[in-house]
Amino acid sequence: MRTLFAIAGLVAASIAPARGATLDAAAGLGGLAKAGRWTPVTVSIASDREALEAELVVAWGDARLRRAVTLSPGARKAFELYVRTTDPRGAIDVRLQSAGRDLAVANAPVRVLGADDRVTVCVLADAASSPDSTACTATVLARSLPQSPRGYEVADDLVWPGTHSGITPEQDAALRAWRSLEALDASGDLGATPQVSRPLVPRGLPAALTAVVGGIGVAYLAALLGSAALLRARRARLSRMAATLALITAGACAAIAAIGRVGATRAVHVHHVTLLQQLPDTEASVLTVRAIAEFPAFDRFALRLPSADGTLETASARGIASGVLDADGFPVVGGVFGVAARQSFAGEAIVDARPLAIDERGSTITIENRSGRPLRNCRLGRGLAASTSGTLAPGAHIEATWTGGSDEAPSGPVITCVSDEAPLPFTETQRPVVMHGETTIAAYRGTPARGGAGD
Amino acid sequence: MTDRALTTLVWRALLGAARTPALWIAMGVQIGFLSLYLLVWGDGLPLVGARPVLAQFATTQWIFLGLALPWAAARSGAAWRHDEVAQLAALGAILPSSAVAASVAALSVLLLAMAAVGLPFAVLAQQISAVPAMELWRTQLPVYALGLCAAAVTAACMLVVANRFMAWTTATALTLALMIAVPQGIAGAAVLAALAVAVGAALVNGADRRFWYLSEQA
Repeated sequence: MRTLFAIAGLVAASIAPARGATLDAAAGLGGLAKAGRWTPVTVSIASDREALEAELVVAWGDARLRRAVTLSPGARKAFELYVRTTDPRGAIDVRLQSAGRDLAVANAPVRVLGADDRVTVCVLADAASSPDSTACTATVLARSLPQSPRGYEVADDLVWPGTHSGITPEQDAALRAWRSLEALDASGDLGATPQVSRPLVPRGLPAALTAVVGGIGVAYLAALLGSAALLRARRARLSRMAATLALITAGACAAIAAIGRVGATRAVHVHHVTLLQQLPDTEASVLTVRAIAEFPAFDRFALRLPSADGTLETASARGIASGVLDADGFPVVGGVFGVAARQSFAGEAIVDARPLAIDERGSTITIENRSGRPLRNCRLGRGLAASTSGTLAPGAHIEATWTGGSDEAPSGPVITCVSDEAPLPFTETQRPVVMHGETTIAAYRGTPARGGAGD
Repeated sequence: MTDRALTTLVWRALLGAARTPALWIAMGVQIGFLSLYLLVWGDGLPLVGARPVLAQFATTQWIFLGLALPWAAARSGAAWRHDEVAQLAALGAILPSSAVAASVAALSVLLLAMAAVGLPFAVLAQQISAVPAMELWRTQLPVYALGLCAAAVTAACMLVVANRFMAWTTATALTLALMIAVPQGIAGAAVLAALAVAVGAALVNGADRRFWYLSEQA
């Protein structure tokens, strides 16, 4: 009987989460969520007595998000994560794991609304306040507002009467960026902007490795046949022939094993198609990227997008979208990859890059290149005309005038230009990263001037 | 017949083979073929349910060597014919079984060397597949065992079949049949190695009865 209890105890211990940390989680904007929209998940972790090196795993429908967590003994940390799924469930599963074991588990319930359900979120100054409007779908405390515009995606409207106080600069910037995005969406400008497509990469070994592998193959062949001819001509001893053959083969093996570990072959190559949409009346831009990374060696990699407010998603063959954040909160594409392995992924980030400055006075719009690098294929939006366009040198500007009729509302960006450099190059801790591809920069008119010609 | 004399015979057979161009041509073609294969299909053959690159590469290498090894063995000059064994035994005052043993041993070394020449490309395929080094040996050991088996089978065919072309064709057909018949992986390698030992032993065992005299055609 005692043995039976002991076994039962062991089994229970292996199932129950191990102690060492506490975990609290809340999800949704005011507890609300929609399919395909980013949903904020606020997680608070406290370590008991020992330092914590663990991973936070968020699972919701077909989406998975992992975030590396380090915590000193007795410390508490709060994280704001974002997750979206096309298959939303009533609760988001949050786990703190270390070495494959659950340290703590939490469930954050959400109210999943339909895509067409209108959501009005009312902001309360503090817990004692009550909403003025009766049309509130949900209420949120000002201090709990999301720190990323992604956190507002579920909302159609946000009601916040009075002065906007009690929020951090990050929350304020996120709110402004979301309002700007909403305005662009409502005007149809976002829908009229060309979207990014997956970059095209030919099959076979990556170009960077083809030359190296071909070179090693030719050198191996030349060394083998050359030494064979030489040894035959000199009627060399068999032992010398065998030693030479062994040496050449070992040398070729060493050369192959060195691919991706020495010289220029060490670089990770990222083929990307990027869209940078400058949000009017804010300092922020929305970066959308689709990319394929080519890894140079059989090794562990962590390819990082250096934006704390961003996401990188990879999709598995079973359609599970997964994202990974490193210990600093930066999105990464990580894992063990082989030589020439390719990993496709998509990413989004809010960045503060604004390569184009738009100044609108009357019917004249001045567009200046402030990027410090030439921009090509510059195309003005519908209803705008300028004496020059095409390439825009660093510091150069275009003056465009509105030529459309007064009843014709502008749609889409004021201008789109193409840059050969990535606005936010990826990084890797151990290796250089070479970016290939182009970035389309789209700039829009500011809010006061919206609404048509000549205004 | 002492061990030293046998070693000398093996050495002689190896030296003769190393100085003929056939072995080097076969090695060169193999290097060219395997490097081209990896350059074109290094990221894997685009097949439904495709296996890892290393497994695909090993299959390609396996088929290539199944065709190339008997040819290299037949053309190397170390695969002695019936009359060559009889003449060598008579002139060298040695047993025919010693000559046959030397021929099989020399062929085994040559074909092992030829199979080993593809190792750098197998290393690349393993690095592409991102699998442990143990997997590399799991795919390469059957290739080396195939070398041993092809050596014994070709030696037997060259001794038994009168026409050189027919001997090579028969050796190739038998090698391919064995490749299909044996299981994959380490088990297949063990079967091939055991077959090589069995065929070699049978040849050596019967040599003193069969190869004392020149053939009727000589």
